[in-house]
Amino acid sequence: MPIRGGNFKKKMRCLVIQLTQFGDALQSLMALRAAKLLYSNLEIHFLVKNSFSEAAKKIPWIQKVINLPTDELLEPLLSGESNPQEVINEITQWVIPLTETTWDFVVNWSYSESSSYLTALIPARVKLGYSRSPDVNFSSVDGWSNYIQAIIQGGSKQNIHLTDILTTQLLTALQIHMGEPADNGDSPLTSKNFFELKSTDQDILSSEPVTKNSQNAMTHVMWEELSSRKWIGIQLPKTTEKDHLWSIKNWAKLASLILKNNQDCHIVLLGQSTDQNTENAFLSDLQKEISDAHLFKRLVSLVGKTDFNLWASVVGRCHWVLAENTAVIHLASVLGTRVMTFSTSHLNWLEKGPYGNGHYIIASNQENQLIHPEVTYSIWSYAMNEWSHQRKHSLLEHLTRSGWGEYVESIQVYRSKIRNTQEGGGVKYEFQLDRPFLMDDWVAIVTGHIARAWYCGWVPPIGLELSRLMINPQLMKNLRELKKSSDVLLKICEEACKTALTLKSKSTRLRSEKIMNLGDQEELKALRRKLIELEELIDRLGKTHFPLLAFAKMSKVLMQNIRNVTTSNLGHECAESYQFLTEGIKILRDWITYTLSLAKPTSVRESPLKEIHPT
Amino acid sequence: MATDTTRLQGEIVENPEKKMLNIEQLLKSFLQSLIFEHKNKETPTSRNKKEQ
Repeated sequence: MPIRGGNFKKKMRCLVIQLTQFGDALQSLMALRAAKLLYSNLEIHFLVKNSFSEAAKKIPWIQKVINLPTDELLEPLLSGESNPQEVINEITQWVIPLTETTWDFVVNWSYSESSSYLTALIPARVKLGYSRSPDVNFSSVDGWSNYIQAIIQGGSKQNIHLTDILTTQLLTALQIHMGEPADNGDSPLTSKNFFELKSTDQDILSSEPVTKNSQNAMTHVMWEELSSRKWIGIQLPKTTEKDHLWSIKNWAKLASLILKNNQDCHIVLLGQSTDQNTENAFLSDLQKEISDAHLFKRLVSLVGKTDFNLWASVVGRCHWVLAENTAVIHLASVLGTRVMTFSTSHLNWLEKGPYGNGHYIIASNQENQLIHPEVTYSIWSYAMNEWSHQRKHSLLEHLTRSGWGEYVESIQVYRSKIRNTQEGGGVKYEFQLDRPFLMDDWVAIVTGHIARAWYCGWVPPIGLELSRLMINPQLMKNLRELKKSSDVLLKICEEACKTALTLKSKSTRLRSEKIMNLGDQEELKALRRKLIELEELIDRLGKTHFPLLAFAKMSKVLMQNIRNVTTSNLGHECAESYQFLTEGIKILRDWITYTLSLAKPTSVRESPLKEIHPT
Repeated sequence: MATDTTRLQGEIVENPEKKMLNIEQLLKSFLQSLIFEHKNKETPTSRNKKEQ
């Protein structure tokens, strides 16, 4: 039974399973923070991997952190020191405490196969995310999890940030099962005090600024003096990763430009102990760029010297963090520090970019194209000085004035902004330079809109984030083609819905689903066959028309999650699923119609002067 | 569009303790998939993940 209003004041135990990488785990903290602010009686237990447990323990509103010792469990098995049965016994001992009492909620935010088995093992009244049914088949147990499986993991374009998805998913479930939340919706989710950090003065005092002549022998810097300065954090790229968007030389060049042109700015280098070769290369390149030894006094390296306490403390005190797409951009987002990062073509920053207002993402328009450090510096200086110019002149004007106007063709810059609630809420990324509005962009917006209609019940008006200026001939051509294929898809789904309803009514009228005459048997078989054929048609359409891929994938996920396999229930659930898809396709068609209408010429009102002085 | 809350509420287990599960199979599969993800350093929310 749903846990409803009457129990609202009661303490609710919620286990969140988050076995993802560090950056993903950080993103989910914002969703949990929102839930805790609105439901103070929610007791959050956080199940994480080793790598994140140190960080999770610093969060004061998390009741308990449970550590899944993956390395300790797997390394002996992989090295042949233990056998699978011994490891299963160890896992059993580890799982038992989690199964002793029934949880009110188990929220599996790992979205992985392994976590689905773990979720199935733990008893709870309500489960969200991936799990397993009693027959051990995969089960995606709620609408937003279907969306993650079908759309995000299925490779379709969409524009809802993962943090927004997790927040909406959890809050909706809490609202259904616990009732209306306390009115605390305007409290900030990001904060410099997000983590409860112990003083790390000692660590900082032992670190030393870098000079030109000696990279390590420096004078001590007082903490008070340090923290009052304007710090720019640079997280060095990991040595272990091969595909860097930027060379160390470029990072050094960018740092030199910041130091030379901003007397009030200081740089703190961040990185892990394994990044010391990168640090040395960076400092060596920086020395080639900077002839004035005084400038080095404004640089401190904490590479290999930070535990989570110090890392978070430093990132929280920085004005900006500049980094490739690593966990630090999510840490900075959580701590309310502004971020400038780079996008590679395979990264979908719409879903996993820095969250909050005023972060910048620089993307190259072409694969492997160099983004000049000078151009990057110019963009950063524009962003850094937003408070003074109030963005009254555009980034394009700024780049042109700085002499980098010719490079705007090769890059794109996005700035994050939290939409107001009337526009649907959540983070969006606005173009800062003109570029053609592509079909991918259009599909991402429309898919996000359809998801809100499916799962939020309220959507902003169609076309709110679209303007006539974005329309271009290529987009029009693609949309005209899409109109035809979406008409076909709509007909298929309507036909499938009708067929499923016929299957339901035929089987409901039977005395038994197991014993029936040959005619009935053949009829039901034909209906099932027809449904399979229609499903194959949906799949084929999705493969040949990429904007329809989302529907094809969603159809598969919905079908896979159908549980009640009596023929009448199968017919009923299939019909509901095709009805669900039909509603989405109708929204897609409304978007096509609206966008095509923007391209039609409109009458322009004549000048009032003409009316006064007719010629 | 009216939202169908049954799609959003998650799985509700009437008697969670009595839900019949193949515990042994779940544990075995949990270990196998952990090993797979450990070896492949798979990011769970990564795109184009192999279908479940």
